[in-house]
Amino acid sequence: MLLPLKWLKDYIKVNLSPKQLAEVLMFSSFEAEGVQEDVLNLNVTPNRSDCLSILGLAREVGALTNQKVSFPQNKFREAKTAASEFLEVKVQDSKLCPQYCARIIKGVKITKSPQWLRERLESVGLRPINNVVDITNFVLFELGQPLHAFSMQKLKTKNQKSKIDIIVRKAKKGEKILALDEKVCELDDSMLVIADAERPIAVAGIIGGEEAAVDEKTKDIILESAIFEPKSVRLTSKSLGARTDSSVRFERGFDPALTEMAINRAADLIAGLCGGEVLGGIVRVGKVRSAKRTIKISVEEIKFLIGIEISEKRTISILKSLGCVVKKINKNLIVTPPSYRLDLNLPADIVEEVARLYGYNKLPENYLDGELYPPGKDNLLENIKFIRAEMLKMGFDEVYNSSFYGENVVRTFRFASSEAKASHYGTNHGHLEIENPMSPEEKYFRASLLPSLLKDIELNENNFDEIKIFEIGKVATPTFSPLIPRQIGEQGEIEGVKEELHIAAAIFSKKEKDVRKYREIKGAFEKLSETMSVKDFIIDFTQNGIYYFEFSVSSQPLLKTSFKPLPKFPGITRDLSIIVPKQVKWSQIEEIVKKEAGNLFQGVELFDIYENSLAFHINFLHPERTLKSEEVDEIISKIIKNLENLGAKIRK
Amino acid sequence: MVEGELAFNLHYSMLDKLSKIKESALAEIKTTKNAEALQNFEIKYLGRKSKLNEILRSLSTLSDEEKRQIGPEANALKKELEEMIETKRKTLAKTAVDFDFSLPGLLPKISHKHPLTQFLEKVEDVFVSMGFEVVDGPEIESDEYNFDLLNIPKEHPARDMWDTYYIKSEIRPEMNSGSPLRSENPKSETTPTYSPYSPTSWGIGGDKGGQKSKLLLRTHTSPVQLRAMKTRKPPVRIIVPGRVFRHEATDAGHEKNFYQCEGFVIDKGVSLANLVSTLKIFVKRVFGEKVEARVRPSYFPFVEPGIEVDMNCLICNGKGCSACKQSGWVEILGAGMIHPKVLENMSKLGKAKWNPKDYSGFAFGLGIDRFAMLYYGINDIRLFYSGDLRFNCQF
Repeated sequence: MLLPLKWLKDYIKVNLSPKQLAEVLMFSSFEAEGVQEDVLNLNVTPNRSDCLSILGLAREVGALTNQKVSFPQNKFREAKTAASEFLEVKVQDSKLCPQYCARIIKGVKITKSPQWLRERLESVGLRPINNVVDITNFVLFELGQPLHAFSMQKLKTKNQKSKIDIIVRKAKKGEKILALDEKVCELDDSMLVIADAERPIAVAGIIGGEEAAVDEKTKDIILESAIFEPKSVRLTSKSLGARTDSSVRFERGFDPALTEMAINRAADLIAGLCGGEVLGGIVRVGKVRSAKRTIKISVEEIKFLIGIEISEKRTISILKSLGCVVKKINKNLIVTPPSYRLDLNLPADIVEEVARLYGYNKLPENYLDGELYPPGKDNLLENIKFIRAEMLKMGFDEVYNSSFYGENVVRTFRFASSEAKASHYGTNHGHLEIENPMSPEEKYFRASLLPSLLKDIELNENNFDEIKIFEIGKVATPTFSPLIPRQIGEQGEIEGVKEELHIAAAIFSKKEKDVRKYREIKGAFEKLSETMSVKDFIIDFTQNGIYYFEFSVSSQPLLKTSFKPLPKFPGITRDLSIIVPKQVKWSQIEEIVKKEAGNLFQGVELFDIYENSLAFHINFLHPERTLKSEEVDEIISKIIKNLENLGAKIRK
Repeated sequence: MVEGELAFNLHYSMLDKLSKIKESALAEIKTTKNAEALQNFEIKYLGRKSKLNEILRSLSTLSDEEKRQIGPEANALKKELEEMIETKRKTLAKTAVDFDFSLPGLLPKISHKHPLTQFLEKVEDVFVSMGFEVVDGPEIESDEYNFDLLNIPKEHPARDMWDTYYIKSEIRPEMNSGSPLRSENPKSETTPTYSPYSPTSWGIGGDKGGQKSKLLLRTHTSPVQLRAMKTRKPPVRIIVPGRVFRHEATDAGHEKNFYQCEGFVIDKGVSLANLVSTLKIFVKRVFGEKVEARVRPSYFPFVEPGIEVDMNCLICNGKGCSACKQSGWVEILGAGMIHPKVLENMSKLGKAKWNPKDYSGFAFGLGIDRFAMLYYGINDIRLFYSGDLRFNCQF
């Protein structure tokens, strides 16, 4: 909302520079996004519909600077002829249009507006059009009540009736209207329109139609000042893509007192600036009374919630400066907010008014006290911390990636867990699809962390010879496949979606693309799975030699590491170097070693692999005595024998 | 005379031995390259079994004259050898540390925690030290929890404050669980109806007059306030760090996904002054004791009163720069006293019975990315999610 100081000064004395005023407003009302010359660009919050007008802002400034607002008196006189002789208003949907007021002004002369009016409009960013249209816009900005002027001659009547019918009705399906912004609006039956006997002449509360617009030929005008239901205005404005100064104000709610005030103010200005005769009376349908709101709150409550004692006198004077009527009954203040303060309904709202005018920055230091409760233990959060620490220890760098990816990823990446289900989902391959993506790259919510991790490796390949990265993050998949039983959650639980915390890691080395990298990623995975339960996981690699794993972090408590007593007696280590046929697996070798070593087995470490030859240490230990070399020799020869049975050759 | 001759010969051979020892020692010390070799040298030439020691020991068996002649020679050699060893020891010691101390340090291979993780941990530590509990919540939310229950009704203009990503849902209507706040009397439930959006999208969750709660990517961590209170009752002090989403174009200052840390406290007599003091101390703990914070009024539908907090711009130290639009202050968080309607919703959702009228609370939401950018002087929020290790490995 633009606030030109020059205009503001029409209603209130301002002794502050634009910058000073911006500061005063910032600490008590709204932030100014910018100050240009004498115009403040205020960020009026959505709750303060009353401040979408210069008069409203004048009241606010008045409360902050202890000034009174003055507003010009109307001078126009009504003609004897009644407007109702020429006009009948029919409101077909009183829910969406609870109050409609119209006036007729005959014999106006359409010209350019006077300089002061043009300047006022330009200062809030509007383009002057002609005197009548400019006056309706002026009043919209001055009071916050959107108005509309129709050119009377352009309205169609039924059967040459002398009376004009203004009908407030739902649009018919397929109806169109050429709006004042020269766009054609395709209407539907959820939208409220203002119509004459034949066609819509305005979209209610949003924009007028070109066909009934006031132009230089216009002599008689019908002035509209109405209340339209906020939600309906908002929906229509959204679906038409038409956000106007009018719709923005209707959306935020209305002050019933404004309808009449605005139509009279506009009539007065038109009579004064455009000539013409204001016909007698307002043609009105519906009457909305300002709801009588009273809020009961005690000074004690205010003190409690703000955390500082503000005197009763000060409290009352703050509330009065804002236009509230305050009565004191026993210990309570009975506050009646002014009709335009739609946002004041609860005691908390009154607390805010007192606190912001008192000054938030004057509040004393006052730290939390009170009893502490023992917080619950969250295994999932603990497990994440553990995993992160372990991954870092193992030399992996942490990355964060976007939660989205596109169709190409879903098509090209092998989703181990979703492949089988893919056919049941149709095109989305087991992914949650974004309804309103802004680009094809954000069509899906991630179901796996891997695609982005692989992309990261590609990205970093040019700068690093060796890349070891991991990410911990949320992924989600739909669960409404026929393959998966329906989950009945607790009340309010998200159903149809399985959200999980995943960990994924990937390794890539320019120099070593072989089995060593596979062993490294597997080693990292095994390290994690030693201490935590891992159910579904994937360990795999790409054709380019990127090795990776991913699994869902469980909320099972971590397994604890238990201490093994240090050996009291020295162990014996023997090395074996063997050449094995391709089909022999390491697991078979390990099994043989374990079996033959029996309870002397302390460990086996594969330390070299070259083509088909393997070299490994075997560690033996007896818990209660020093091992004899001969004992171990015997086991080794058994191991060798067994290995030879597998087809291994021992290298000497 | 034979005796005398023999004595002379002995005398001569002893002196000869001494000079041979010296000769060989001189040659050997040159090739002694390390401390271990020097040790061996010392043992060889001065040890108990050394030739020189043998000669020294045999002195007692000699005649006085021989003693006079050989004694001083042998002792002189001993001294000479000792000096030789000492000099060599010093030379060796010198060689061992003789390098360029100004050579650059070599960094051991280390891994890097993401800067946002580091920052989140910093934030968590401060609040945990003040007795807060850390709680997690879902990234996929319902319209109901993200908006309605937080006092942001459908089609309320305040919804424009949060640009939202929606999930295309194809949930069959029988999956509707109903609104979490639905009446407990099953008879009053209406039959689920298709949502008006499109024939293939059926909404999910609550069913209020045919309007179902849609699934969306949470726009803030605030819905976790409600979720956390389902299983707790006041007093509580909770923080909720997590990823949130905004449907807006990305640029150096905006990301479609970013991190927030929600915090809230509910207890008897919690005041606005408590909120402001907590936030001010938080800013000091994280950014330094000299950093000041200030409070401005603001509006968020789930708090009343609502405030925003600014702190000194760290880039210009409050002098004014392009990052803070010359104001010297940067906005860091939104906060306020929990709205009575939200407190009421919490109490209705909660398993435990408590009267919302007996309690007050405050809530705040920190933008972690923004904080980290200020703290490290990062100029582009997108770097956090780029996966570029040239960035990640700086922290």
